[in-house]
Amino acid sequence: MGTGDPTRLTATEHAVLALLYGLGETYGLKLVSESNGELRRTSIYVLLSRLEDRGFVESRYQDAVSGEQGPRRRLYRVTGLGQRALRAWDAAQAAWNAVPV
Amino acid sequence: MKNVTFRELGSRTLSTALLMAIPAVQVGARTFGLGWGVSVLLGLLLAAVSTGMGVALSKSTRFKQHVHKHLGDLPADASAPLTTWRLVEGYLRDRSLTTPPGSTLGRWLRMIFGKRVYQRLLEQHLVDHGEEWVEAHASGELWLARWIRVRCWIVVLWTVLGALPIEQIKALLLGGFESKKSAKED
Repeated sequence: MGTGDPTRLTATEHAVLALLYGLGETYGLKLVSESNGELRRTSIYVLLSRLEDRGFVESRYQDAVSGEQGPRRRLYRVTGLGQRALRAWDAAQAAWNAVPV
Repeated sequence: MKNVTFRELGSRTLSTALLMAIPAVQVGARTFGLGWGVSVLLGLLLAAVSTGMGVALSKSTRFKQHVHKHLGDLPADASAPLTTWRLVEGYLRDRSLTTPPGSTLGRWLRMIFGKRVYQRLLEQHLVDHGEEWVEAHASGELWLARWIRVRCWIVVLWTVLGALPIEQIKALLLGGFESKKSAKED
C-alpha cells in the first residue's frame, strides 16, 4: 500500500470499513463474526489500528459497568474521512467496472 | 481440609508451554546445534512435561494445603474476586480457583510491549477470549473453555508474528538454524 496516498485502501481494509459503516459503532470480534469468513480474528485489530492511524476510524473504550474488572472492550466507528474514503473507493470501483473491455 | 481445586490448570500450563516451546527450539538449535526436527521435538517434549507437571501439581495435597493456607480464611463467596472480570452467576463453584484466559498473558504482554501496541493490537484479544470463556463456562462447556484458553495464546502469538516484519519473524523462529547453516557454509 502506498503511504503517499492516504485515501488508497486495500480490499480487506475496504471490507472492514464498509462493514463497520454498516454496523455503526461496534467491536472487533463482531466485525469478524459478521464478515462471513472474509476477516480473521488474528488480523482484525492490526487492520483497525492501521485505519485508525490514517484517520478513517476512531475508537473509544466501552463504558465501565460497576463490578467488572479487567480490560474493557474498545468500540470502533467510521469517521467522516473514512466515509469519504469509502465513497471514493466505491466510485472508483464503479468507474473501473464501467470501462468496456 | 476444605476441597480447594485449581481449575483448568492443565490448559493454562499448556498455553504457557506453547510459548516456551519457541525459545526451547531456539536454544536447542543455537546452543546445542540440534537439527530442526530434534529441536521441535524438544519443544513439544518440554510442553508435554510442563503440562503434566501442572496437572500433577493441581492434584497434589501439598499444593491444596498451600492454597488453603492462604485462602482458607476467606468467606465462601470470595473465590470470585480472585478470578474474573465478568461474573456470570453460578459458573464458579465456591473455593474453586480459576482466572479467565489472558490474566497471566496480559501481564507478560504489558511488560514486553509498549502501551500503544498492547492497547491497540493485543488487549482486545484478551477481552474477546475472556467473554467467550465466560460464555462457555456459563453454558457448561468446560472443554470449550479449555480450548478458548489455549486459543487465546495462539491468537495473540499469531497477531504478534503477523505484525512483525518478515525478517524479524525469520530471525525469531529460524535464527538458530540459519546461523548454523551459515556456519556450515563458512
